[in-house]
Amino acid sequence: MRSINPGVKLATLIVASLMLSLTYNVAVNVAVCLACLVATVATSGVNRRRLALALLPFFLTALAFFTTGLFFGAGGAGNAEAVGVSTSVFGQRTLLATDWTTAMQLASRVLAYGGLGMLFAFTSNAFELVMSLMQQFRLPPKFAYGILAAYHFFPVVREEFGTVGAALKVRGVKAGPFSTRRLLPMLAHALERSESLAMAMESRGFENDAPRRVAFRVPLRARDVAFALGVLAAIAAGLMLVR
Amino acid sequence: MATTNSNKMGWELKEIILVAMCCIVFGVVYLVAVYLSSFINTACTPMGLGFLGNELLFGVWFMASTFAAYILQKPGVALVSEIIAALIEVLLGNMYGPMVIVTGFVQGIGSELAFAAFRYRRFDWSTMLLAAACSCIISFVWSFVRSGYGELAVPLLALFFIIRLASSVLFAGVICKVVADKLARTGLLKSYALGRAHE
Repeated sequence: MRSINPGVKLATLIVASLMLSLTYNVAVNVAVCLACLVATVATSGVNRRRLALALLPFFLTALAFFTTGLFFGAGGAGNAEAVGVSTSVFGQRTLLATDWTTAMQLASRVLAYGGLGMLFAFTSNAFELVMSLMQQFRLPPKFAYGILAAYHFFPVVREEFGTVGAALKVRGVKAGPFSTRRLLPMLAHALERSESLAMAMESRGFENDAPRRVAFRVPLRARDVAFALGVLAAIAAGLMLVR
Repeated sequence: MATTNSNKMGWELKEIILVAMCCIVFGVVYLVAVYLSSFINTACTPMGLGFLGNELLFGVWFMASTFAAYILQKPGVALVSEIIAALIEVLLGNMYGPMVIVTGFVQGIGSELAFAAFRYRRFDWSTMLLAAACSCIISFVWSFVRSGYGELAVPLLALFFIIRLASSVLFAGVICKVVADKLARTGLLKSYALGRAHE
């Protein structure tokens, strides 16, 4: 999984998610989720404890969707236009059965998205993804390097959130996470940082349109295409065959 | 118009980094808020309202978009910023993964439409609030596709919509504008459109 071109992987998983979001097929959703988790665990170097922790919010969200669907499903004929594939099969359902199905459909979909998301997050590297987007998907270099530069400040900004909070507390000011008192210093720092970063890059000769070479080349190979076609064909087949 | 057109469309490097940096700041704030909202979610799950927490914070997703558009005041900023924000989410390992980029694109279109409706000439309260509301409406339509909201009962959807609208207007409309105006008053934004407007 790790060696697949990250840009292609991203595009494939986006199309796969879109395919799943246009249909309500519980079996396929669950299968996708399981397949993704198996593929993620099978990839070498994946931290399983972190994966398990990351899965927790999913199950909570899926559960939330499940109960929402169970108690507040549209019910009966109301969802005829919304459920393309499976409505006719369940032509005559009791209200409870309908909502049970709704609950399963909503919850299983969250799990499928989760599987796809985990598969990507745990087997891809941020730097390689941006390089791949630049080399294979024509992302302009100034966006690629600009985004990467800011991305590396994430740990600094996270620390700053705590620092600003502590500074406010010392002065006896109460500030929630979205208080402007907290946002203002953080954004001011972000502004200063972005200007000096841009200046530093430009003064070192970074130009967007100049012809450039890259030290780190992300290859696009036949197996990347095979991965994309294989995954999408499998899901399409699943959606057509499994009702 | 001819003189402003060239720098109106293109992106400077420092603008890109500015947008990305703001996305990081909002991203960190969002992460903290998510912890809070997950309590609400979990508490409401047994009643079938586990989604309330998500809806309460939904507006935070639009902040980068309206904030950047308000500062830079150019066509395309709202849309591109939202995509950058989504890409950064993916880089940070967002749990919904690649799909976030599509969501970002859809939401970006919402606020972009609002700014376009004023032909990118007016950037004031009404534009900001409209942008926030448009993002909310479009993202709500998208939820029908993505999260299967069509399966839910209408009264519940109405409740979700009202909560999401309130959240968007508060976060993406009011908070973004207030903070950006305060920032402009410090003089840090002198080289951007908003800072020039404040002089």
